[in-house]
Order: sequence, then structure tokens, then C-alpha cells
Amino acid sequence: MNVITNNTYIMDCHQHILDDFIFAFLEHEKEVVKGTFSAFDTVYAPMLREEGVNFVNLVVGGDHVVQVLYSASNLRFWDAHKKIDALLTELESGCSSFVICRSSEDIDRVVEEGLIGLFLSLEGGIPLQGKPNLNLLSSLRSFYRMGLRSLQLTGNGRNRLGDGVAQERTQGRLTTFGRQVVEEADRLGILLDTAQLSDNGFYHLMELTNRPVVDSHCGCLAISDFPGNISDERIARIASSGGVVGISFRAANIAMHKDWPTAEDLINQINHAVSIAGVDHVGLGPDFSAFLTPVDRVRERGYSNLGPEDTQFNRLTPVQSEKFPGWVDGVWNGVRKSDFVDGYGAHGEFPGITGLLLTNGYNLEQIGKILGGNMIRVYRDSL
Amino acid sequence: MYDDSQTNERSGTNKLVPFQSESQRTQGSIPRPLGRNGATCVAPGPGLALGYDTFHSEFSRSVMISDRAKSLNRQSLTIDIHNHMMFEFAIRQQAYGEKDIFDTVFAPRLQTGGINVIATSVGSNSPCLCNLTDDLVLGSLEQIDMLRIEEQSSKCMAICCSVDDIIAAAGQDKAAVLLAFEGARAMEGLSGEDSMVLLRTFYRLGLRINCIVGAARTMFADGMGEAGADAGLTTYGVKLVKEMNKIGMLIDLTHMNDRSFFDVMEVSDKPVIVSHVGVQAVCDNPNNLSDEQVLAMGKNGGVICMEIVKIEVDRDAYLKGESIDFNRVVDHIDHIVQLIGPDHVGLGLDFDNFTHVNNIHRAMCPAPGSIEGYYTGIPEGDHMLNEPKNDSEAYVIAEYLVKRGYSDADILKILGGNLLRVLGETIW
Repeated sequence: MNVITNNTYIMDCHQHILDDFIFAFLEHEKEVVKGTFSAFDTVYAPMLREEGVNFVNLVVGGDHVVQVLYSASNLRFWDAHKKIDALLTELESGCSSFVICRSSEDIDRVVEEGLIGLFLSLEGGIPLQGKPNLNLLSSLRSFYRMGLRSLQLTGNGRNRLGDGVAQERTQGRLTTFGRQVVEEADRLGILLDTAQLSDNGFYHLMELTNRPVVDSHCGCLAISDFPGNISDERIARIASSGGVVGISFRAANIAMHKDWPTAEDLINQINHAVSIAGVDHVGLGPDFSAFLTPVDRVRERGYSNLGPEDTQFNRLTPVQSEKFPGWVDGVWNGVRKSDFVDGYGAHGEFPGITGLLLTNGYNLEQIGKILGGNMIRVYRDSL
Repeated sequence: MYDDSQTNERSGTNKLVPFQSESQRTQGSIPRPLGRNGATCVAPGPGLALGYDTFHSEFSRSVMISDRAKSLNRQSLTIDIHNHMMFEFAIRQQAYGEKDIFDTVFAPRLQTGGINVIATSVGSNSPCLCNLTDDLVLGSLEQIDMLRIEEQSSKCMAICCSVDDIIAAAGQDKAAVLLAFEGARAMEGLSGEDSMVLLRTFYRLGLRINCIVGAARTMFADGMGEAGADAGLTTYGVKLVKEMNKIGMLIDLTHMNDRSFFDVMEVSDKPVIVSHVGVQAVCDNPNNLSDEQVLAMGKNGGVICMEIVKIEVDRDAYLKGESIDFNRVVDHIDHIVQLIGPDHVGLGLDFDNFTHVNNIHRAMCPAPGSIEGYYTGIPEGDHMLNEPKNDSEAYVIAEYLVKRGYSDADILKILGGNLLRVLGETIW
């Protein structure tokens, strides 16, 4: 029995857009525009089919340099537009296998027609920042018109909206611009994602909004002492807002001090989140990275240190971690054999989660909620 | 309002004026700044369009300078640690194509005012500080370059990187110019990398004073515009402060929010300054220092520097349109001296009422009157004190301190001695 295919909503709550897709898009851009080639269908769709998901919260830009194509510049705004443009151009040129979900009707259409639904998301607000002395909400509205429906205020570090978990020492709340962005996101119907936001920023955000908020990819701090993980209090607060906590499959989130965490560590995290938040408020945000993730690569290469010989693709993205192995914007992730839980490190391994949940006492209804029902509920509330 | 329109003659009258002979200079009653060892300084000649007479005739109607104050001005190595001449300098050089701008426009003002040392902002948080570009690194480099080129031909200025340089400049009767930043945003570099490269590069170009924030957020710390976020120093900010301690750059905490301010006090093992500010006990402006901050400055061994911007000297009187003179600033000084003694007061006039840029607040982005996105309003009329109106009248400060009963030793400290001490401890 393949439970996954019997569920209405299977959602990956946090995935980075594939460099492989962008690379194929740029390589074949003229054909894509003419409608004779689809990079999405060729590269992306097969991988998502393999993952078994019909909805993806897709990160199209954000604070970390891994978001930036071509060079390690500060051009986050440009980069996010480039990625969204690639998706929109595919649609305009006739690709009909996915939908950029902007409304509840789009969600229905994805299910009825068996398509893939993408919710566009920013992992940090640097792309919204203006010129040195000028932060305007026009950038947020512009992204919204292009399809953005989910927003993290920060990555791990500081930006002009707030401080991420790497900057807990500042004890800072949100800035004026951060507050303005929260209000405007609420007005527009952009889901607020509190992943990587510092504690003071998180509680400030919760004061400002009455809508459900989510944490798309995290772990429970009670189990794994990793700065990106969140306290039980924070989990409960998200649940009481009606939101969802997305459990990441990354090793650092799941078991910071283990070299290669196992399925047992993963289910411990999920169980703990369910025990605090309730089964209606837990989802899955594996955080598969911007490129194919080999399960078994040599340790010496360091965190996310993948070259063409690993991915079999010419990777466009310079990874900050190649300069600073093990670090992501001020947070130590460690250098491991794999960045992910053993057995849950790549798109094709995602479906295994169903069996894991089944053998750990979750019933089909609960599994349906965790796999995607909860997150889709929040999106329907939000849009 | 101060009017130096006579200097704005673009048809060749901006030639460098020959310096007066010793006898010519000693004949006048100009309160003339002198070299540290008492050598007379270069003063503007009578042919110079911007003569002191303009100021002095008007000014002398209200204040008589005592012989004691004149003597103190002669003895003092007076330091203005927050000067904004680049607002005007860049426009004169680039838009009007003027030459010898420092020697013909700024040196006479400083000489008349009795100022020997200035720290001038060459960047960097907003376009108005960066030669009107929002490429902050380029704008800062352009302004440093302008001054470096000016220095080559100037007879009146020397860009100084150490106390030895300052003393050498004073000995040659030149104005000592220190390069400073108002906001460190141009040093931020690539997001997430926390690099010290730009800090050290600007240091090598001569930058010796770095005000870490302006109004808004930097990756290091927040300005008062972000007081609501109540954030302290970031990890990058901690790194910056430690590196500045190490390489020898003076930390300036003006505009910084409270939590970051006290964080720097903990992290820095060198004295710091607040280059242009007042105290909240006298003028309840959130930009001014609380008593707690003043005490922390005393403990740190730093210097709190007084400005002549009305809204931070006496907000209420300013909003009522009343006249305010340096007496009110002396109230601020009294308060600081009561709390932490006379070793922690200096001058940072923050004068920015020039001819072409007579109100920089109108040129600010995104809208006139807003600084780095925070609306602070366009100052009505002349937002500088009525006395002294500008840097060329700074020689009256000694008189106000004399009248308030300060000793000669304390006045000399306030005019420059304290800042020179801290410069010696921080930039060597």
C-alpha cells in the first residue's frame, strides 16, 4: 500500500529551488520561451514526483548566499526575481504541470487535475530591503503580485527587518520596517514563517499578528540543542495561533551532536512536536537543498560542499560554506558525512516517512494531517 | 543667519590669498588659533572675501571676549570632533569646479573660530554623507580622495592619522584634519561574511574615527531610529569593536541605541567618544545621553562632545523659536562635570549650515527631512545656535566657560585637551 498516493495533500514545507532547474532553464531559455522545452518538466517535476509530493513551499530567495545565482553578491532582490521569473516564464510558455498557488481555488485545481502546487516563499527579508536609506513596502507588494505567498522575516543573521537566531545576543525585537512588513503581509495574505527568527523577534511578531503563523523547518530545542530549533514554548505559541511546525530532516536540527542521525532521532522529534503542539499543528519541512544531495559523500568535503563531480551538474551557486565549512550565516551546523538524517537525505527518500509514522503508532488520518493536511489548512486560512 | 555669500564668487576670486606677514596678523584683534607651542597660525588675509569682519562686527555687538578667553584660545589646541565640511566641499569642487576650496573657504572659518583640529565626516550611512550616491563605499572613497588631492596643494591643511601628525600640523600652523565616518554601513561587505576587510581598508586610507551607526540599522548595531527594536551589538558588531580597538580607530557612539551603547562599553577596552550630543537631564531629546550613559562614559574614560544644534541643546526653546546661545550648552557641560568631572567633555559642533548646503535635511532621502528613512523633520530657520552660529565663531566658547567660572585648566581640557588625550589612547 502506498499511503502517500492515497492522501489528498502531500506537502514539503520547505525546499530550495533547484539550481539544476535554473541551470536547465538558462541553458534552454530560448526554447523555453518558444514553448519547445520545459526545464520544469525535464528537471524539476520528475524529482518532485519521486518525492511524492503535490505541494511544495518553495524557497525562491532569501538571506543566505546560497540563494544567489552566479556570484556571492548582495543582489538578493535581483536573484529572487530571476527565480520567480523562471517559473513564470515556464507557465507562460505552456508548461502545465504545476501551479503557482495564489488562492484556495489554485489549491483545489492542483488536487483535481493532479498537478504540482508551488507556494513561493522567501527565506529572509533581505530581498525586500531597499537602497541604503530606503526600505519601502513596494518590494513586498511586487513579490506578492509575482506570486509570493510565504515570508520569513530573517535567515540566521541580521537584516533590516529583524535578527535571526545567530544574533540572539542582540536581544532585538523587530525593526520599524519589520513591523511594517508584518502588517502588510497580513493585509495581503502572505503567510508569515518564523523559521530562523530570534526569540525576541518571534514573540514580537506574535504580538503583531492575529493570523496563524508557521515555522516551516525546525526541530525541537528540547531534543536537539541547535540554534535553529525552537523551544516548547515557541512550538505551543505557533500551535495556539493555528499554525504549523515543520520538522526538518537536516541532521543539525534533528540531533545536533550526532554525526549521522537516524530515523529514530527523526521520529523522536516528530513525537515531541506532536506532544507539545498536537497532531493538527505539525508538518514536514525537510529542507532539501538547492542541489541533488548524495546520501553518501566524503566527510572532507565539508558541509554542502558539493562540486560538479558530486551533483553531475554544473552548479551555479557559490556556497558560503565553501569559504566557511560548517557555518551558515553565523550558525554552526557541523561538518558531517551527510547533512541529513540517514535514510531521509534526498527527494527520493521522502516517501519513507509514511512507513516511519505508521510503525510509530500514527493512524492514517493523523498521517494525512502531518504529511500536508495541516499546512494546506493554514494556507487556506491565509490566502 | 550666517551669510558667507561673499565667498560664493565663482569668477576667479577664489584664488589662494597670500598669507599675511607676522606683523600684519598681530595688528588685528582676531582671536587667532595658535600652534600648540604658541606659534602663530596662518590667518586669512584682508583680501579674502570671507573676512572675519563680517562675523565679528555682527557678533561683537552681543559678546565681548575677555582677555582671559582670548588667551585661552591662543593656548588651546581646539578640536572640533564632528565637522561636516564635505557636504559643502564636494559640491563646490564637483558642481562649481572651484579650486583650493579648503584654503579659501574652510581654513579661514576655522582660523577665525580658533579651531585647530577637525574630524570631518567622509561617509557613510546615507547618500547625503557619501557624495550623494547610494553606493556608500564608492561615495566614501570619492570624498577621501577629494581630500587627499586637496591636501597635496593645500597650504592650510594636513590629513592626520595620529597624535604626532596632529602636533606636527599644529606646529606648521596647518589645520589638522582627521577622517571620520558617521555610520559604518560602508564597511558591511557581503551579507553573512562578517568581514573586517573594509574596516581595515578604510583605516589604511586614513580613517581614524568611526561612528558605528547613524539613524537606522547597520549589521553592527542600531541607531536611535530603531530604538523600538531594542537590539544590542551583533556578533559582527562585537568583532568590529574589537578590531577597532586593535588597529587603532576611535569608536564614536553617537546616535547609538541604549542597549548597543552599553554593549560597546562592555566590549571595548579603549575609551570611546560620543562626538556630537547633549544630555537628557538638560534637554529631553532621546538622542541625548541619559545620566546612566554619562556615568558609563566616565567609567570608560571617554569624552562626551558638545554640539551647537539647537534641537539637542534646548528642544523646547527651539520649538518656540527662542534664541539659544552657548550658555545652554554650558548647562549640559555643568551636568556632565557634576557627574563625572571635567575630563570627559569636548566639542563636536556638528555645524552643517553652509552656503550651498545650508540645510542638508532638505536633501535627505527618501523624502526631505528624513534620515535613513526615519522622518526627523526639516529644521525651521537656522537650526544652529544663535551664539556661536557656526564654526567661525567657536572662539566664543572659551568666554562662555570663563563666565561660568571654569578654571583655565578645565577650559583647555574642554576645548581640546580631553579629546587629545583619548586620541592618544586610541589612534596613537
